[in-house]
Amino acid sequence: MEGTRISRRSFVKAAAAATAAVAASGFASSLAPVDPAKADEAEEEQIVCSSCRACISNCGVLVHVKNGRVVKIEGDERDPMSKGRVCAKGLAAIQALYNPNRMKYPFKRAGERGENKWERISWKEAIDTIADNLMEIYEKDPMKLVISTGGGGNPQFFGLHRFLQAFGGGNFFEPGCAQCYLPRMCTQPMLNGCNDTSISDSTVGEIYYEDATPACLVMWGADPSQSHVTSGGRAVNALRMKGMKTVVVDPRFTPDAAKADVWLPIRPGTDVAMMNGWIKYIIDNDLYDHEFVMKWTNLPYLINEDTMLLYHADELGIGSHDEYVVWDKKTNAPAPLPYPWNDDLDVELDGEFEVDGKKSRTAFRALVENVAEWTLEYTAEITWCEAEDIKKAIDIYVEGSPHSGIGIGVATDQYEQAAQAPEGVTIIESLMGNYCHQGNTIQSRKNQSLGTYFLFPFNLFGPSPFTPTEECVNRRLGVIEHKGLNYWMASHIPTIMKAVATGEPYQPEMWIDRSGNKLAMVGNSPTFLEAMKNMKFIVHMYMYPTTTSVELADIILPTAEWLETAYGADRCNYWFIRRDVVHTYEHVDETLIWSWFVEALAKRGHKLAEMSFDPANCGPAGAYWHNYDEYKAYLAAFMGNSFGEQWTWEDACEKLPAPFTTMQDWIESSWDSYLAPGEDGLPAGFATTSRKAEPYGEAMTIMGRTGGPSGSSFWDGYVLPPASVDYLPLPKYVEPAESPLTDEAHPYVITEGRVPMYHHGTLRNVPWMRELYPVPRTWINPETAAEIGVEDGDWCYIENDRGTIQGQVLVTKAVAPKVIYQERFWNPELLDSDDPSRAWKVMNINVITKNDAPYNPEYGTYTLRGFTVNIRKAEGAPEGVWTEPEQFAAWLPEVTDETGGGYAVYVA
Amino acid sequence: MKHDLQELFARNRAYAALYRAVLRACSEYRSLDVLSECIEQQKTSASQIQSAAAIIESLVRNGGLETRVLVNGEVYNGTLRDAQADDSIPQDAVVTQEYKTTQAGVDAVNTYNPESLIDSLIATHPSYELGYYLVLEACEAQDGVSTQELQKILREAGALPQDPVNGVETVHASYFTGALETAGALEWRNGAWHITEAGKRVSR
Amino acid sequence: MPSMSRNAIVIDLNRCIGCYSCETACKQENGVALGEHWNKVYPVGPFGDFPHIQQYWLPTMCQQCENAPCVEVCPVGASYRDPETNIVLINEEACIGCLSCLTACPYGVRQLHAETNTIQKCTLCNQLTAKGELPACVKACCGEARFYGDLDDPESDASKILAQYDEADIHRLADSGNHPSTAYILSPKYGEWQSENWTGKTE
Repeated sequence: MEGTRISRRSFVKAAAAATAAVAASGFASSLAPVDPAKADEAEEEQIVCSSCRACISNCGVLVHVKNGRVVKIEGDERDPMSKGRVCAKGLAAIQALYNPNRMKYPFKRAGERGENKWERISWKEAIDTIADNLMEIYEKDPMKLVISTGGGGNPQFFGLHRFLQAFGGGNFFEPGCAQCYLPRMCTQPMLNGCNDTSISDSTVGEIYYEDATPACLVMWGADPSQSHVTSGGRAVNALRMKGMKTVVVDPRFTPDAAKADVWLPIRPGTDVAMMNGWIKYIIDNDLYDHEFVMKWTNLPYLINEDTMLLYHADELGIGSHDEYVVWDKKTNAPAPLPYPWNDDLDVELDGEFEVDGKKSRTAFRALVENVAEWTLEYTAEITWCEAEDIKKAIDIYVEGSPHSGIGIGVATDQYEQAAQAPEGVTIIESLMGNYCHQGNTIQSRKNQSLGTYFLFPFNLFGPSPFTPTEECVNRRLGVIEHKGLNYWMASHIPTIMKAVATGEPYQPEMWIDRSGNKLAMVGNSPTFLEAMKNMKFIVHMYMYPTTTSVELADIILPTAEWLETAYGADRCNYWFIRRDVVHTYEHVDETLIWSWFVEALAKRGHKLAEMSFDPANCGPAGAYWHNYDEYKAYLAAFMGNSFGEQWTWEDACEKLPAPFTTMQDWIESSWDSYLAPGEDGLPAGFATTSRKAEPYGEAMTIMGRTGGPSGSSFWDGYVLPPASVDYLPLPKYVEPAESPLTDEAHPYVITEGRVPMYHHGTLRNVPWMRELYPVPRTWINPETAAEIGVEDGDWCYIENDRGTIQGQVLVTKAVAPKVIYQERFWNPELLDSDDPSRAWKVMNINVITKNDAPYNPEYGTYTLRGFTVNIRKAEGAPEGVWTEPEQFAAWLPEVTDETGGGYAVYVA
Repeated sequence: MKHDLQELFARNRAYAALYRAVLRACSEYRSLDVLSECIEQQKTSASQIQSAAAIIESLVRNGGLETRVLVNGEVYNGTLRDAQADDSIPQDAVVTQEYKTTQAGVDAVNTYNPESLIDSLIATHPSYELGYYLVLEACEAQDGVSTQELQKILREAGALPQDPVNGVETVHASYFTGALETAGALEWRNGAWHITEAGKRVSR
Repeated sequence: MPSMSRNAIVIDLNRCIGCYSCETACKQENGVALGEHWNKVYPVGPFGDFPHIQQYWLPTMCQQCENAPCVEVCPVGASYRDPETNIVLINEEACIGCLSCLTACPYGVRQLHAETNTIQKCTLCNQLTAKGELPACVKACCGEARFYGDLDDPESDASKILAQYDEADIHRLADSGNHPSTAYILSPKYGEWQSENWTGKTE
């Protein structure tokens, strides 16, 4: 018997000859169906270097293109973060690109909202219609415009803020924002003067350094193995194998928890209790870094107890304004402290004194009192963890300090204590001096981009003709109350909903949503739908129809998948490029759509819009673009800056991926940077008001009263009216408003979290991903399952006063008794049914999440994790839901040819 | 889907005035051409993007209009679909559809009373009463008035309530224009706010 | 001269983070149909007493047995050992779909391809290794947990990773004389090996 090596290509030839049904089977699922006659021709396959955008990780990939079609995705080994690996989501890109459900053309709604009747229109008609509406709104009152984006579908995040600045008003929201990344991204650098410590948003760079291993990494509500699989997940894994110790604080036993030295299965919503427990333990056992705490934090400074703010020496008439005040044991009196230190003083760290005729504690004393009740035992009781495990975790972290670090994840951004959790983490790290040393997550090195984005609003670099007016900033819905939203120039979703529903304080009328599926992603989405139906004109831009399109949109615009877009990604010391390798149908990169709106406004005489095309007005943010080539020129110029060169897009394509510095320089530039002399000859310190780390978070208090830590609003410098309640400088634990301790009707507490095959609402219509995880699993501890009366594989109802959804039970010890886990989900297969709303109702946890008060004061965060539910057995799956692999065959790729995209049919 | 005219009007705020205009125009059977013209004349906002046919179809679906088919000017006993499938109709016959307001449609128009809507709006928001009347009065101007001008007028008259804690104005002129427009007292025309007939009657 | 190499994949379960990238990479590389798998990952656990529990993930595929029962049992020689690479492969053109090998394979890692009624399985991506590339699953693996190579060559990736561990940490699926080549590494810190009798067959 001849042992022929059967190659894949010749099998296609053989099988196609044998049966005509190959293409339908799904065999050629990511290949163009091969004409048997051509199978033997040498077809040149191009390999294009690019950067994936299935999620925010932006991993370097090699895209194989043949005959104008994408045929394979692999990792690029040059990528210092992903090292040539690629995850399931990246591998799903071809099925996403050629998904038969892509929105191919612009459409206008023909029937009523919810009927799913559409008529195709040209891009010109679409842009003109939208621009006419924008002009009308602009003339009536620009604040009546609401625009939104989301994390899924390769968003160009700040492109929306840029648009609003050229438009001259409007409200921006995003279902994440106050419920995702903003709380950490704003709070941490405000207090630590360095960075936020998100692994998934690529702000933790230390874990990619192969020349040194951190002593300990604490993943607090973070699971890089599922949220940042190829980069953070891979890197943390590699470091674990090199001996880095890890602690995981997470209600779920994730892969990172499974491999950790200690897993603390924390009750959802109790992170601040745990943090205060850590703080008390560290202080009581005298484990903190005395030198760092004394010299490099604001903890020795004396507090004006009336204002909660730290004294400045001029207030007490003993020095200048930029000196804070400490208690000098030598003179037994308050003394001014010049930056950075005065060796003549013998400063008392922990005390309460009389200053200016009234009581004044050091910030350290205030911290001690703030955590007084948080013994290990009490912490264990509230957090549902074991005291010995908590101690073990802290000991590991402390032992590794000052080469330990805490990475904090999205979990704590998603409920009422969204500001308090990053405050707590900052205090812990400040006590242990884990700042800008080898192995720390807190580092002063800056990425080339901002949160992975390098397309900017105009006002980011200083005053600009496009800087929002003071009136505009004040009128953003909900921001006076929740000042932290201004860090992302965002408005408060519940306040927007109230305005749309009641008309107060004014009636928003037009909504442009660049995003997937608001009804799957926004908290308590049925109430969101009811409110948004009051909008007069709604535009939805996305890659495929979702429930936002069907339930709400008047016009839908087809956007590009990442393989059809151009961009870049800075990866540690490297720049990677994203290449638009194909353009299909009339898809357009959403970035261009916004600029086409502006161009159409300019044509209608909108002055600001006209100005935004003139580089002289635009500063470093650059002018708007008429076409994709102009946009690419901007991208290339930005990336070339890092190399000190001026690049065209062709240059960038040729040269990237490439390092702009060595990894060693990139990493080590941050180490001890606070000690290095700055321009004034003094140690540089940290980028805070005091130039010290500020675990006593008066910056939060000042933000609440004025708009920002420096006494006026972020970016634009307006002094805003105070919020109705003061933001506190230290984190107090607050029991969740819906608590399993007290809610008898709903005795279980539910949380969410990533699975590695989905990114937000995306990829539920990609066959390979649905096959891996066809329905959301409801994780229930065996004890609780027995109590409820469900077994593994049963379907269940999850309900509370807001609604009822379903999930399929997974009985597992990976969650504590009474803790439930289920990830977000929606069912694209139900969009074509008689009731398309079932697509987002039957198994979507956001039907039952909580969007009413109490909100987090600082950011207005509502509650997506840590609320209460009841569970009961269901007879079976919701009707019509697809669960079997063969059902997903309907979504197998329809490979299609290069068209030039929407750019070929519309000229701005 | 629930078919209800009041729901239709409430859920499609951009089109409510157009729906009513069509219902008022169809006391007798009207052709699509006549109604299309009527609709185009009544359009006041760029948000009204649907075609006349789509607007009329919505009214038919929600029970506001009934239809009949004419074949060569004669009433045909059947639907458009029936006519298309009917072999006895010659290929070159002229087949058209006409629309007449149903009783439900008549009732929906008759119960629409902008004056009472406006009165009710003012009665249920007594703290805004001064603001409503100031806006109505200002919008009587020949060329209408802009939102910015209304904001100035309201602020100077002290008609904008303030939060007792931080002094922030709790409503903006755009609250008043939005509420009054919905109630039928104002319309946006030629880039400015203008008072309607109903608004004038209340304003007096 | 027939090859004496013993090419196989070694999976370090200490590193496997259960990301399913290997399953998907295999699908892309080999065009595996929906509902069919050449490589499939199974979570094992969690087991133990809460909260001190353990879990690992077990990627499974053809174990490249030295005495492959699937080769012995095939009536037409479609299931064969490649003389050049020594890898167990399937000649689909010769396969008659009798399913004897499905019964013979102790692990149930062979797949009946519905469209053609022939058997498919992991080929160690011989179309890639012939070009000097690694199998798709090995390349993609985000845990950096998969290693390929000749177990008889101490310089191969597969051999080198095995050499880093104690014998006690190296495991194989049940061996009833078929001698699976594929090796799994699992240290007690990351989990107690429970997969001695693992099989993908449903009874």
